[in-house]
Amino acid sequence: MEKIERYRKIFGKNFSISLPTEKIWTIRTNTLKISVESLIKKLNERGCTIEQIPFYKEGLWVKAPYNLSYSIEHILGYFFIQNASSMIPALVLNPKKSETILDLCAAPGAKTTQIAAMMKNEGVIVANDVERERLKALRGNLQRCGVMNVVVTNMDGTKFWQTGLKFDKILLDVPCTGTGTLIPRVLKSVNKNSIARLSKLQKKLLISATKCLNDNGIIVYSTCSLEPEENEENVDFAVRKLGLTIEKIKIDNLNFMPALTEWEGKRFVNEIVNAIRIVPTERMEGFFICKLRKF
Amino acid sequence: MQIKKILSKKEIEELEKLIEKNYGVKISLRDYLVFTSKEKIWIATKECAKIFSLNILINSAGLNFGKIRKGKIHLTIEGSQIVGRYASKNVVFINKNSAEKFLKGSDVKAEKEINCEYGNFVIVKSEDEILGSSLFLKDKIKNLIPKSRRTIRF
Repeated sequence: MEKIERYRKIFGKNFSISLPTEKIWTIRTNTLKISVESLIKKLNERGCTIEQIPFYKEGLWVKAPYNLSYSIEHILGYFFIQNASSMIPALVLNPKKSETILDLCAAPGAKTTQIAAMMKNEGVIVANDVERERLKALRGNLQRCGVMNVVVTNMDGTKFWQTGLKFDKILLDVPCTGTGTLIPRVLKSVNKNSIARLSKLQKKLLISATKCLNDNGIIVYSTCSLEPEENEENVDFAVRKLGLTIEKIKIDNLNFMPALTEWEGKRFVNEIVNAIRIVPTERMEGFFICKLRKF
Repeated sequence: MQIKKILSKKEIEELEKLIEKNYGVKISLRDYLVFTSKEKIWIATKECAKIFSLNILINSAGLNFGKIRKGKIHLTIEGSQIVGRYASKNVVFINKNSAEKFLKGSDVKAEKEINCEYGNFVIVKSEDEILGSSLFLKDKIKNLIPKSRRTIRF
């Protein structure tokens, strides 16, 4: 109950935790292997009902009479099972073929494979993750999706800057409490200490990412956490201490709310309203996304 | 990942010839960085080379294309999908039921064969899907789909 009250302070008094009543899969078409139209046709032929995600035509909500993760289309790499909210950071990053991209906390690779597809398998992405075990999933997903433009590294992200590598754009989808998923087990396990510990790590990752960024480069900072300490507080830190600026996010047909301007007596920088929060619903996880530029 | 060797232009041409000899299709790999690690062949974009040239430990890079075994080439599912669309040799078609069994890991029988050689690797297709590459024997297609890529049900 304490958490609900906390989240009502963020999202308003009508906020409630509603878990899905029916299984709806959210998938992203892997355009490196198949067109959206062909995938929809194949899934329709197998008895699926499909709705395109309003803000991203490659994203599909699918009602399927079988387990999609064991389907031939999944095995052959035609799609990636990925929450709609988690498709937004790569859209905000808007990678170009000519740019050098870093995905600092990449495993298991949903966003890395999305970025690779957006770059049409050209240019280069460095996908890093500190956890060796999670790299297996990342490598498997890169292979399944037919990705050729990724180099995988296994380094502590907080020390990645020591490589001396510089990037035009960095996706910083940091490890977080995951409270945006609204999974009861996750909500139960999160407490003040775990939030504080992760918030500290996230700031260290922001420092490292900033050092790896070219001048005029972009960092997209994202979490699937609802906690202001992991979101607004860290972005406020990036502006005040690291000298980054926050840019407005423009995505057509996306419902979001602006980031909080204050939390528990602490006032954040004015430009924080350019960062966005996705309100958790049955179909979309709660997410926080901020586009930062280094001058 | 221990990168054993980055293939030279000449070695890439030899690989292209091997693919043509085995699958009857000419594909161009010269715009890619092609390298070997153990016995596997990997393909990556040329831009990946600038990361290779730095002194950082690389875990993996690019796409696992296949393995060369005694002058024959065993393609991965993704390698098969690249080569298979226009392949005119060592291609088999299986029906939908066999495709289901094949992706569960079973050996299957070919419904249609295109210029297949016994004891060579063949690209396995079902309708418009390219399912991977396996070994063509006299009485069956020996399943070589890795366990991690097998399905339980459709």
